Amino acid sequence: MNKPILIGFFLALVFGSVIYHYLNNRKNYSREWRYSFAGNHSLHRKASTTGLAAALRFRADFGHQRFFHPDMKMNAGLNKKGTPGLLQDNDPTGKDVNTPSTTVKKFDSGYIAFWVGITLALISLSLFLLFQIRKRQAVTEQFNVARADLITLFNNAPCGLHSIDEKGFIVNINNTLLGWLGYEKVEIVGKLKFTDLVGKDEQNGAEQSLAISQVSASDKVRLNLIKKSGETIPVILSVVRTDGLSKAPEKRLFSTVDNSECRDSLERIKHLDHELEAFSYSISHDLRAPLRSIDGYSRILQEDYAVKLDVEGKRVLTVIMNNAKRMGKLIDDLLEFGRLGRKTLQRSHLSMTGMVNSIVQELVALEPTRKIEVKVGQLHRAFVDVDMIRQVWFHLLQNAIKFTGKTDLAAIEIRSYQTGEGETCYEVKDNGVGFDMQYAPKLFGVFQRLHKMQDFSGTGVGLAIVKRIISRHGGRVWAEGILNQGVTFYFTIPIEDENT
Amino acid sequence: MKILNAVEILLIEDNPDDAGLTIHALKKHNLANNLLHLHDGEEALAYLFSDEITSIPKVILLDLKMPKVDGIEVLRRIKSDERRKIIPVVVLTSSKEDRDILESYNLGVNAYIVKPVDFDKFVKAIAEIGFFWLLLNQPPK
Repeated sequence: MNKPILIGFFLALVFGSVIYHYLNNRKNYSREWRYSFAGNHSLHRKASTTGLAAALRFRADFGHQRFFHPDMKMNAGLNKKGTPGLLQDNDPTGKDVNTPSTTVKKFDSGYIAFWVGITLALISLSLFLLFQIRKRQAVTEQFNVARADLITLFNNAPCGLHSIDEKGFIVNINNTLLGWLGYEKVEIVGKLKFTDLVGKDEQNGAEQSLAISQVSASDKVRLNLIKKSGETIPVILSVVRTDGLSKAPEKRLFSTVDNSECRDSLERIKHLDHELEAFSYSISHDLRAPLRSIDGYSRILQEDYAVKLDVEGKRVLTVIMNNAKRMGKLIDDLLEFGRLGRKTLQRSHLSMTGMVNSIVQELVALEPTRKIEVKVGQLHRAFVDVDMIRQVWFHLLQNAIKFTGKTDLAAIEIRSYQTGEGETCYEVKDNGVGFDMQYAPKLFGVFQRLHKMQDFSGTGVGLAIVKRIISRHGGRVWAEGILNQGVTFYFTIPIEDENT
Repeated sequence: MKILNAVEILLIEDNPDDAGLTIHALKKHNLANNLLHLHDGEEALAYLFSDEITSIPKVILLDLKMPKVDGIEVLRRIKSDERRKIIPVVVLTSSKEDRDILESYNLGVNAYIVKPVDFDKFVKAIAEIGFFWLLLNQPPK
């Protein structure tokens, strides 16, 4: 139990005993008490039980006794009415107010009432104070809990926090940031400016971006902080609060987010990208040269030494040359596929109808002996990388013509429509060999082929290229096929706002 | 390899097999009579920047990926030299990497040809290069 409660308990005891005492004695003298009052002040005839009223009454009465002593009273009466002594003698009640016995009795009861009143007032005051103290204590306790919570949060926040004064000196810094930097709090607070922790080459920039007093919370500054060990740590710094409340020196609170993971990932990606580039560069140079030699020298053998080779010998040479060429094509396609991932999109507005028509003409011209009917609808325009989309159409149309090679009349249809979900869907439908839908997931993989080499040529990279290009444009690509009835390829391109 | 006639074609190529095919293709069209084959960039620079050279070749066929001094460096040296920058240089390489093409043109290359893997196309390409630079083109004196 704490002290205030004990004090309260004690005061309650005092209060209780006084009340008890008063109640016990009231009956004995109340009559006289009331009576004596009545003689002087009819106003106070009815004694109230409240202590304060009693105290007041007593004071008034007692005061009257004091200030209106019989002699003085006469003077007062004389002053008032001009008839000295008359007031005293002609009192209508006919009571002698100055009878000693009555005075003592009255004094006793008044005395008790006075102290009861004082006690009650003190008790009330004590109770009030006690209540206030308790309330205050509860608030203080809440405040302390909140403060402790805040300090814990401040120190263990997942981000660094620090505040600086108007001169840029660090006035507070949390454990997280201290941990990152490897300093003790005493080494920093009041001793270092925040800009002292920023890399030399970034100091000016940092000072500038932090000096502006109107920095808003959305402003983010990317910096490299220098650890005590001399290493750097990349962070994103932002202003949490600018204190403009009082006349106190301006103080600003900042948060810092550790950006090293992001930097490391970025560096890793850059490194991988660099490696990949070196890899494909090397493939591009080194893998093709031997193939050229295989093909070239086989050809020289075939041409210049033909007389020394029999039919089988010539056939074997042809097999070697065909494979060398095929490998060359595979390398080219694979390099192209790799390049697509790295190339940045250069979008412009494109008439899809115009592009499709020109590719169709080009491809149909290569098949003069075949009957190919191509219907090109009015296609929606698109905001795309023209070179890449040309490849998409080229591969899809080339496939359509290739895989209708065994039908008497190839019927190819190209159309487009808006899906209502902010994208345009383009369709290429043919009546060729189609494919079994169970192999649909393989269709767009690299080097995946669904047909035998002797039936249809190809490297199996075309549709992988299509998929990559469409993905890079933010669209989707899929196909629906029925074996021996044809296939429909679909791809979507998001409708881009021209201004973006 | 010393020859009596003035060099018309300077072939700078480290891969002997590739060089053989190029020479074979040129020979087929009688274009390889005054050809000098150098095997890497270092050799090429030594030849081009020596006093031995009396007349400038009609064309330099330059491979890019070579040991020691690569083709890009040879091209840079030729094109930054007051006297030699007028020599037509044709890059003849396996690579069609964008950065190679861009860098070559930035340095002032006269043509950039990607060697086809297919021998028919290769022979055709080499023959066209030979005809164009030896017969059609008017070189600086």
